[in-house]
Amino acid sequence: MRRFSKLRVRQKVAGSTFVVIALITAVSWISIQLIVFPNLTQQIVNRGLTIAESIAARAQRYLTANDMPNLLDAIFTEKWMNPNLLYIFVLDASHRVVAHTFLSDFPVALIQDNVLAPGQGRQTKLIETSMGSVYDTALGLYEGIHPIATVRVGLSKRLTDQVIQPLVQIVLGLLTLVITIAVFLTNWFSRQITDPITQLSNLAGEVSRGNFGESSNLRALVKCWKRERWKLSACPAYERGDPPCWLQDNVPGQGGEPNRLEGRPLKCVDCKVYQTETGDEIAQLGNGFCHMLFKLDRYQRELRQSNEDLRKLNRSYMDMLSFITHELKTPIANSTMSAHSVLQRIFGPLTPMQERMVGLICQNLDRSMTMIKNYLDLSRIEKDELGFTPLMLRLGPEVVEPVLAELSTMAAAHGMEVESTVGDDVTLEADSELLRVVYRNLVGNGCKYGRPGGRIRLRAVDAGDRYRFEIWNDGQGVAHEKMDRLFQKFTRIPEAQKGASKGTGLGLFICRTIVNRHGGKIWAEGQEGEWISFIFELPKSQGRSTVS
Amino acid sequence: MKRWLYPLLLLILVGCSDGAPGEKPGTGRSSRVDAPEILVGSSLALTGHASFLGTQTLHGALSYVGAVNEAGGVHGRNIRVIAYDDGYDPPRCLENTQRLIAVDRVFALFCYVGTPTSVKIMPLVQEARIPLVGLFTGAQILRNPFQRYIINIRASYHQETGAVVRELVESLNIKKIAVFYQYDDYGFDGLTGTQIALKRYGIEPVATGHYRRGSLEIEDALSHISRSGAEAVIMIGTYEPCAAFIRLARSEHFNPIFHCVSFVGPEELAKRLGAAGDGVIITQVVPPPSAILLLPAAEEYSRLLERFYPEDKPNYVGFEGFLNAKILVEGLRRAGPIPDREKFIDAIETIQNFSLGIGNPVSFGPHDHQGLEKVYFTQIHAGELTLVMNLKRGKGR
Repeated sequence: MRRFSKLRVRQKVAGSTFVVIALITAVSWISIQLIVFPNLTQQIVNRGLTIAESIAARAQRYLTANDMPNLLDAIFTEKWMNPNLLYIFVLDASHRVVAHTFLSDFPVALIQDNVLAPGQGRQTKLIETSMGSVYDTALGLYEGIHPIATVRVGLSKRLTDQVIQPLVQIVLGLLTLVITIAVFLTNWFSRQITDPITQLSNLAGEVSRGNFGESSNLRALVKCWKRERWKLSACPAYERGDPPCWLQDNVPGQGGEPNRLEGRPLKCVDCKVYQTETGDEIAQLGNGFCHMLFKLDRYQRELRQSNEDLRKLNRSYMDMLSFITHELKTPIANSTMSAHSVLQRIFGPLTPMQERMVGLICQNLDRSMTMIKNYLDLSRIEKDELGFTPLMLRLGPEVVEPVLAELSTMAAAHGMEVESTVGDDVTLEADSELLRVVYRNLVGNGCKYGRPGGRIRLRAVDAGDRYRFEIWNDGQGVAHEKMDRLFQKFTRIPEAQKGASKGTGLGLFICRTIVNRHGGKIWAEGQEGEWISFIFELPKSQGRSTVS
Repeated sequence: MKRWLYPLLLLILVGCSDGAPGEKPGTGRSSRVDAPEILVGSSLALTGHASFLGTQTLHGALSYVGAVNEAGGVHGRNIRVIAYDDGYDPPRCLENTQRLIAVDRVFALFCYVGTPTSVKIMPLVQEARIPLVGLFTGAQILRNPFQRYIINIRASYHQETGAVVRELVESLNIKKIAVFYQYDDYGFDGLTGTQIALKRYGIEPVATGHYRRGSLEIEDALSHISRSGAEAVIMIGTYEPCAAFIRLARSEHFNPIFHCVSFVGPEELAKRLGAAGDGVIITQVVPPPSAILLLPAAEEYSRLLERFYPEDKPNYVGFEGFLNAKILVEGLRRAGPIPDREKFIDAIETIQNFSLGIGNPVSFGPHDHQGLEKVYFTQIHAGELTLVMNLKRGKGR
């Protein structure tokens, strides 16, 4: 049964039909054997008796008159009138053959094959003779109670075969014809069912792959109903490339009335084709599928338009953000330089209070500067303007060391000890400026969120066609379940920022975007309260011609 | 599905099919001759009202067979004829024939006399596939449809009645023709032949009358025919009733042209009619046996009959039996030293333009088992049969 359920519909239909026909064949065969054959046998037996009885009266008369020639004439005439009669012979009271129809020596053994008991009137036996199987009928002739003769009639069993054989051949012939027709019909009916379903299935597959909106597919689908069920060629709306009129909502019918009544299409406005309840269930399924696809097509187009609108809106926001941050960057940079000059007493000594205040100004200006850089980066990312120029570079001297030098002041401020094992031998094809952004963000995070006085370790591991880079620091770390959120835009983990200045929540998002742009991936590992490590992998080559 | 369905159907069909039809049982076809003598069997009227026909046919045949045996037989084997008397009774003929085939195991059947007797054994001949050569009957049913195992030598009754009707209508311009016939296959055959012949001229018999085989009850028939005013009466019967009919007609002054077919037994008819027979026309299927100077076969027949049956006089019936024997012997000769029944039939069919010595060659073929076609006219004059060329000169009194 499980195997049957796995079969295709056509195979099931054909198999079921064959089983039914096989059953009919078996029933026919059994009927022939149980009804026709016994009936024929009985008819032969009756025929033998009839012949014997037709001879009996004459035989009795001729025997009484001792007229053997006429007795012989009678039995021969009877034999010639019945082509399937093998023999007739007449025995006298002492079982002596007095007349027979054999043209050779009389087979004496035949006499004993079917002997009537004393007083018995008639008896038919199936006996085996040199002539084959014979239904031998014996009819006793009596004068009073005294037997005077026995008439024996032999009919070939072949008679039944001669009737049965053509019957069986006719039955088998008819069944063969029925099977042939049934095979063709079931095949045709199955195809009527399965072909549209297969087409629907194929199209559903395309829809599942997001390919449902292609008008060519819709056309192909609709055309599959066209021949028998849809009169699309008559519909100008369809010819224009639009869905057929009767699938369109809000299309007024004649007289300005809606073209639908309780959801059922009434009439195509343009082609006047009446399209209600046409076709069978398969056609209706196809209609429904068509309708669904046309609707999906429309929804997709609407969705696409909506996305486009949103993208435009986002872009204008980003333009504005970029503009604002860019405009803020120069004055804040100047202010930072000035504040740091004051703090470094270039313009004269400061009172302790002044020094403290100027220190706070510097700190806030640095933070603002970082935020501006991040927002600028975000703007470039969102506008898809993040420049990506991969070149072969040595990571240590060209990326890591400049960043460490740049952040040395910050590290020192936090008492962080930075250890780097990234050597000169780590070479890969990447955009050095972007990687510096990544290192700046990750090392800067280590300085900001690491344990004051702790350590930051940088290292690179060769992983075949890729490099794995790790930036480890001890400190608070992040709970394991929150690590996925670290790389989302504007995400701030309060525990991680405990005691540290607030960030923009963009740094790790920018890192992930840059790493992804390089074809790599980034993630975080760590132990909450003890350490955290940011790991990213980059391919050694970008898979295109290298510009050195 | 197809891969195993079709072999299955084929298997079922083969399983249901009957074997090749075998030979019918009980036919006893021991046809090959390798015994020292060749047995042929005959059932014919040796007693009774048609005994002259049977006896003379047999004597004529045995005269020739005796001479052949004396000369060393055929391929060194003598021919022995087993003859049983059937008294012109079909059931007895049937009984005799069964005995000849089943008990005596004869090679062929030979010289059967009479239409009803011969017709009765036709199914037996077909079933046993045994040759039946030379029948003293012109019945059409023995000729058409063609039957492989029946060899007819003499012309048919249809040919005889056709010839006499032609002469009566065309030469004598007689249109009022009646038919007197024996009420059996023989009579029916002659009646049919006459009707067919008359139809060619657009006329029908003016009257028909019949008698029962073996009886002499001809009065009703005569009364009916004489009232019709028939100018000629074609008679399909045996010599006794025909003679009775003619004699009674003459006595009643009813004197049309009487015609009898060959089966009537011409000499016996002439003898029984005496003077009343003058002018009676008898069609013959063999030439006159008395023409010993003209026909070598007639001379041979007369000589051999004189030798083997000195008490008999040459006659048309015996001469026909004699000619039948010549065809039998020629067939056996052509069938080779070890003939079988099929070979014998094939051999007979090779006989083409074979001279029997009667001035009329005989031919057979694969689909032609009718040997002679010619019909001769004879007329009784003073108790003797005279050959006539046409009926103008032989018109009755």
